[in-house]
Amino acid sequence: MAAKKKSNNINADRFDELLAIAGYIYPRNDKELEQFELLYENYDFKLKNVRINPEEIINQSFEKKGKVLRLRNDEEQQDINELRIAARKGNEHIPQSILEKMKRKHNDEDK
Amino acid sequence: MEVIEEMKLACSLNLLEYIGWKEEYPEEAKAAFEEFCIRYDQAVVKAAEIFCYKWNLTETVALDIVNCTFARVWKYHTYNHEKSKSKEVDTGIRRWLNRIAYTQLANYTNRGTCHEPDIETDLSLIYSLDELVDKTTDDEITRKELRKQLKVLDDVIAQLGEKHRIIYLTYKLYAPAGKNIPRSVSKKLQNELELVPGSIRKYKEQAIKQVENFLNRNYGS
Repeated sequence: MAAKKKSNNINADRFDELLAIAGYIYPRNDKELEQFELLYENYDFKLKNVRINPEEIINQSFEKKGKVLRLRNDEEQQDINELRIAARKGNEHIPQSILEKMKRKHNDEDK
Repeated sequence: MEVIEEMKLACSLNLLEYIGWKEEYPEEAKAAFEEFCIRYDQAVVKAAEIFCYKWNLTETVALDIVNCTFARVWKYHTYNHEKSKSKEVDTGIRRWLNRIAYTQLANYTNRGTCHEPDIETDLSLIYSLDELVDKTTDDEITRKELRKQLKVLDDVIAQLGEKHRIIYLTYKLYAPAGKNIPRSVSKKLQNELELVPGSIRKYKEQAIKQVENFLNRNYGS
């Protein structure tokens, strides 16, 4: 019981520390960096073994490829799941809330 | 060939110094930079991928950020180990690189160019913040407890909407002591999120309140 209380003891300072350890903000001291690196030691990195090209950096010839593709958030995933179900069943109406969201999104993209 | 061998044996602080000689000794500067990249690019690539993942950005953006980070090092080798609170040079440099990466991340746009920070927006120049957070937690916690706490953290952040989260984290980066964020960062937020300054303030307050409420409700902080 006491251990449970200890692990749940998250005050504002500890919260900021956790933000840094998790990578939401940069690690602000050696301890946070050490814990950050330890935490992701066995993480399945998509950029595993990617090396940068110093030559391209020196010549300023590297290309920024980034399109800011946001990963789907939970809410969007939920919407997609509902749409899938509706599409599978075929005879069901798409929920009004989803229709409104799609309309809003469509209007936003037209701006 | 001899130069390259020499660089392999050099201390990282010396490498940064040699990089600064690009006008007078371009060959040595280039060799020093290449060795510096070999030593640190993997750490920055991994960190950038995590940072981007946490900010809902893809690994493509992470790679851009890494390139921009090292472009910054080539241009301005401003690491000062005396100002850094790190015991080891290697740790201090990794922390410095993470801050440069975060400067790029927080100011990321699709313009196709790296962000050129000024004195206000360059997170790699912030050393005073270290003093604020020097008081590390008094008791060591186990890995299992840490994971539990991090799960709580992810739950809290996940309940913030996209705009709330971006604004909340940007303020955490740039205004840890509750001050104002630099004007250019504020401008970027306005443009990216299509919000007026008043709305950004409102979003920030709401996000802070949401985090506080969550902690109070569930953890009685």
